[in-house]
Amino acid sequence: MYNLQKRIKEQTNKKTSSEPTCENSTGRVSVRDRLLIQEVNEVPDHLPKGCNIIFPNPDRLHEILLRINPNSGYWKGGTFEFEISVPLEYNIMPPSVKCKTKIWHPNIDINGVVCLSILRSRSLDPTGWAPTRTLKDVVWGICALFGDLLNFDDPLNVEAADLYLKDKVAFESKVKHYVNCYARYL
Amino acid sequence: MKVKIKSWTAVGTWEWVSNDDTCGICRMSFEACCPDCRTPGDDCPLVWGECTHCFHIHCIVKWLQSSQQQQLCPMCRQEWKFKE
Repeated sequence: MYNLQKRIKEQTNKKTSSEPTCENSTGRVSVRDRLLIQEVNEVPDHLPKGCNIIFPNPDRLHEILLRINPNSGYWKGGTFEFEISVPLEYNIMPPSVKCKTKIWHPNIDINGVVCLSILRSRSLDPTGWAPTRTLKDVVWGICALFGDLLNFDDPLNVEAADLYLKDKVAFESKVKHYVNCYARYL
Repeated sequence: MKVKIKSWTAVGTWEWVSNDDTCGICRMSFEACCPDCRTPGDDCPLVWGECTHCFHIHCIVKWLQSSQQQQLCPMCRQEWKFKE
């Protein structure tokens, strides 16, 4: 005979053992996860050239890897990996981004901290985070650090920006050195 | 011929009148409620800013509370003022 009681029990066991971060205390899917399901689908169609997006665990869409192979500019030839983690308070709070590949870049420091205006919450500056932004915008923003948004005037890695202003050839060779040492493993 | 009505049941429908279909913050339909509510309607009303943008009240309040320095509309980034 079909044992309903047993089946219900199995399902509850399954539920408790599954990822608790997917649901909030009310047992409903969190806003973050509901938004991510929509946003993740629109990313691949809008991915800039040379970019690759990876979800290491399909059950944890809030942990994202972005691989960028810039096809022009100083960092051409390197592969740079960024870790995007989306907090539970998304989309009131922005995702946080870390560069996993060591890089010599005015807007990314040696520890991988990324300076990108749209990732700033509570920003006075109008280009900061807002809930109207999506994952697609974050991916584009990170990729643009190798192009349009590369900024030597308001650097995070001051040393890199100073070197560029003083000696562009030395800057370029230091970038190439970092690419050869750290960004060729993939 | 005479018809005698023994009983009748009235049915009403309602909808929000806004210039958009979905809330720009939670991206749920305005006819539905915000993600924190269970029933749409007066318990989860819409509000307008002076900039004419419209959100679920719970969504915009959550956003305004998270931004400490300045209260800006997430759509147009003008200063958020509730429209009377």
